[in-house]
Amino acid sequence: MVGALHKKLVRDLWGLKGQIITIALVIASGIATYTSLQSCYRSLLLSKSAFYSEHRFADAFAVLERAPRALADELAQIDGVTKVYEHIVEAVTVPVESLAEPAMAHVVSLPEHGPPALNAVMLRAGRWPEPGRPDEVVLLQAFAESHQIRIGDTLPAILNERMQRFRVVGLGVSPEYIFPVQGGVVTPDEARFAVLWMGRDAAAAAFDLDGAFSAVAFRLEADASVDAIQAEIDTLLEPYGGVDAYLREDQPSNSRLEGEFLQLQAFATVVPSMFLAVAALLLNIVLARLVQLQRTQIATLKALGYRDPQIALHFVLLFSSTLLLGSVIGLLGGAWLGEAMTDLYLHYFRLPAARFVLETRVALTAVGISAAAGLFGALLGMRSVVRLVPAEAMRPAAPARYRRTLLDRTHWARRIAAPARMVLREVERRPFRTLLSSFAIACATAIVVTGRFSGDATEHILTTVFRMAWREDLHVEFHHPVPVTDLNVFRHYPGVREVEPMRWMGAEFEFDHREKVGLVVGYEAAELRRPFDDQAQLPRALPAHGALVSQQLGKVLGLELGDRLRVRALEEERPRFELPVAGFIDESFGLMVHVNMDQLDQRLGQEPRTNTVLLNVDGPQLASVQARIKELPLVRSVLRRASIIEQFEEQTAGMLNVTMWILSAFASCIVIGVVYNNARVALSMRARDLATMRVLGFRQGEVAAVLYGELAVQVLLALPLGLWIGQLLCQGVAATVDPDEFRLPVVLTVRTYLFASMITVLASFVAGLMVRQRLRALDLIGVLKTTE
Amino acid sequence: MTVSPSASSDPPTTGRRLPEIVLEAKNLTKVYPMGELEVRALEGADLELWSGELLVLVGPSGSGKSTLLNIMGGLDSPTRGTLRFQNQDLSRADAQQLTDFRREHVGFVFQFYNLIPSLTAQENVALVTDIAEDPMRPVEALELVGLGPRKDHFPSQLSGGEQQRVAIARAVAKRPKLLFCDEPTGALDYKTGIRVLEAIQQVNQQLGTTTAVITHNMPIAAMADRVVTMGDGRIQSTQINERKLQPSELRW
Repeated sequence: MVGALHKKLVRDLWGLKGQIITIALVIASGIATYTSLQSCYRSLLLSKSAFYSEHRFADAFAVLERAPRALADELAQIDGVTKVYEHIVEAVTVPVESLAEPAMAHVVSLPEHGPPALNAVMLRAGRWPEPGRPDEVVLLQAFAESHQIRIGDTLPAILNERMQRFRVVGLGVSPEYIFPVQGGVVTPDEARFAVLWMGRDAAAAAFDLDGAFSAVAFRLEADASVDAIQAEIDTLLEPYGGVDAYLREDQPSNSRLEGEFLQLQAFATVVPSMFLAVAALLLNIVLARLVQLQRTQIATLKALGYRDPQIALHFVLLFSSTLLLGSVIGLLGGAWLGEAMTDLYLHYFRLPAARFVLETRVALTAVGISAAAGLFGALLGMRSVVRLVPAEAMRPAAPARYRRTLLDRTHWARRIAAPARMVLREVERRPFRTLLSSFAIACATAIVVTGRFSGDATEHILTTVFRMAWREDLHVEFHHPVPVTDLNVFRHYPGVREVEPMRWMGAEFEFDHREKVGLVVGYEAAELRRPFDDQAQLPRALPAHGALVSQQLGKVLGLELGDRLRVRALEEERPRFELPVAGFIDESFGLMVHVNMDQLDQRLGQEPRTNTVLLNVDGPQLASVQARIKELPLVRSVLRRASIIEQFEEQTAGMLNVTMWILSAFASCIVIGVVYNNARVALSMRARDLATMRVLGFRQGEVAAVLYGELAVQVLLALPLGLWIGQLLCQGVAATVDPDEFRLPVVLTVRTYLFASMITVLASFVAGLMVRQRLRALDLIGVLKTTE
Repeated sequence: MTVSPSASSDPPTTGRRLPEIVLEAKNLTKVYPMGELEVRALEGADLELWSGELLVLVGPSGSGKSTLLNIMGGLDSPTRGTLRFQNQDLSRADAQQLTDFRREHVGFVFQFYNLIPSLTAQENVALVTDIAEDPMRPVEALELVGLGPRKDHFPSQLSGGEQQRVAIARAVAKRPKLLFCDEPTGALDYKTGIRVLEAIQQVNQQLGTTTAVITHNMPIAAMADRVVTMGDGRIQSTQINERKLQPSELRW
């Protein structure tokens, strides 16, 4: 008995191959995105943890000016601290030929004997510096590669205001510098940030730190009370110029890495869920309609004595084969894609020696979710099988019920041609089905929007921050604040048109028992650079009295206009002062307080001093001015606006394009899956109507218009819905970024909306073409001669 | 009653001028490939349709009635043989030309009505009048079959007989030269069937539309001008009714 039913199953599968393949592709897209994104995320996470633990990445860090090495023993006494590693970390500049402005670098000391107790370095090539060879360094691999520096090459660096030459004997990576973040610039820049690991003695000699250290790393007990430990470290280090100790989560490279991971995780959850939801929806729609189409057959089976579960099983098997096909394609595709993505991310994150792992758990979850979602859809469709009374189903169905639509009551209803009326009535008769289909298509549109979101956000930041807010050609930072009068030297450089001092200062802000660390920015002329409102895309005037405060800082501290913000400068004597809040400003980065420099100097009780200068330079002289500045020992970094923009674009473009096209391809699968299946079902259900029209003398195109009209309505409804859902998804992705550090603006360009709409329409068009052949082959006589 | 062995028997001149031949089928053969077998649905059928006549085509199942009607109506093409409509050769016409032929000159009525459920009676008729060159008004066509007052009803609100009359109104609203009805009363009870036949007769007489009706129901043959009997894919006999019955006089 079951044998014949199985044969029917096999033949049904063959007959429905187009539908089954397209649904399987949607399921496969879901499984592939889930497995690839999840396994990529997990592989990266594993690689990171392995790298961190193998290289003893510290739990807490502190930097200071100079402290005797004996202090390390005191630090080790702090309750909860299990290991202390004192060493030397100093900022230097590296004037390489391939860069117009000098690269920033850290000199990090290595113990004379044996590996560092914490923050070990992984030697990727070459050897360690030999004791008694102060000119030998191990260079950060990423930097070496981006400048084609090889082992044996020499490298100049300005240490403690003295130019020295080093010989590169090895290339290394370290957990501290996976993501080299240059001060003030958001994107990691491999070409502009170097690390020089050298012997302890050599470093101590270069920075006058004999018997002393300037950085310290800690291993903490797992359940240590971190706040208390931080406070104790700060107390012990304060006399030695120690700036606040920070935990691993705030370590720049790690925090950046974690941020990226968080986004990846959000992405790896949100996007596949959409695919799987749509697959379930599709299965529901298609199976429900399949049951309707096979109404008489089911009734006959029932009449012959088949039980409901047997018939239901038949449809479950039909669904299972679709799931099986989708799972196989999805898992194979997911593994391939996951590995490719992991490689891409590994390169981006510079995580060494990682390998791709596709966990069974991830694969099973993907298939499990698809199965559950699909089964849910299938069961919904199956309800009508159970309800079907054989005798009733074997009679020809009565004509479907229609009624006059709202549209018919309008004045211009009479002018609508009958085919258009057929479309509208069908839509109005089954609004839920239309909406469901539109929703599924909208999900696809939304996925395309999400795929382009990072690109749009990056472009927006580039435009507001670097094209509009930064009006200077060069941004020069000094090692220490200098008198403003010292800047006159720049005015004499040929080609320099404008010179504007600025003051950046790390600070701790406090209000109403709430604290936050951020930056105070002082402006003198405010011609080249003014506080810039990223939301309004307009510069803001500085208040004569009081400060302009980042909205995010205001929110976190609960500030209101007129409140007095307590500030503790994180430099030198740690002076404390108060600033009245004169306004709020919407900025994308950081927690900042903008004031004019007069106020700042007054409150600091200093002569006018600056640690940053902005320059506008005539184009032809830019290179020579940069070259001169590069040689100045006083200079810590020189940023050229044009190269930041270039670098931003370069680094993000490749990554974003890959994501965008992958998501677009998957989204197209969804649209084709939905539209094609809807068209097939509509074609089966309306075959009689369409054949009648053909018999009455309507041409192919005119009949196709009725079928496509319905699909067009679904697509048209889906477009605005999809763009809206896309925006919501982007808000979700943006919410995963730590707002204190960076506010990802949910700005989507018209280009993105057009692109997403275009992909949707194009995929619908392809689906339309796929049914066109069937429409042509409509059996006019056969359809009309049979009962419904 | 005259009975002749061939369809090309003399037209019923009844002493007046010869009627015009609207459609002429000669030696039509239709072979359907069915897997490894061939089904020969028509084996050299000859038939002429005369202007304004009401012809009834009878014969057992599988005799080729529907195939012949479908080919004459431009729904299908013959494997061999010729088919001429007025001066046009339809035997080699492509799909586009057949569509045009149906669109301009042919009306169909099927056993299962085939109304569009999402359109009202009037709109179903308008479906045709919208694309026809000199159609009657949809209401006019519905009035012709006695359904003027039901024009705003959807198919689901109409009885089977009413639905079939709407189908007739839709078929004739474009003033076709030819009206083909395939078992128009097959799904209806006696009383409703008579109403439908009355509508067909009314159209035939008032508009002068050449009408061919296929039926299994022999008594219906009595209302025809000519009765053609088919068997084995050929025309077996043709008879001319010298006295036609009114539909209301038919009994089965």
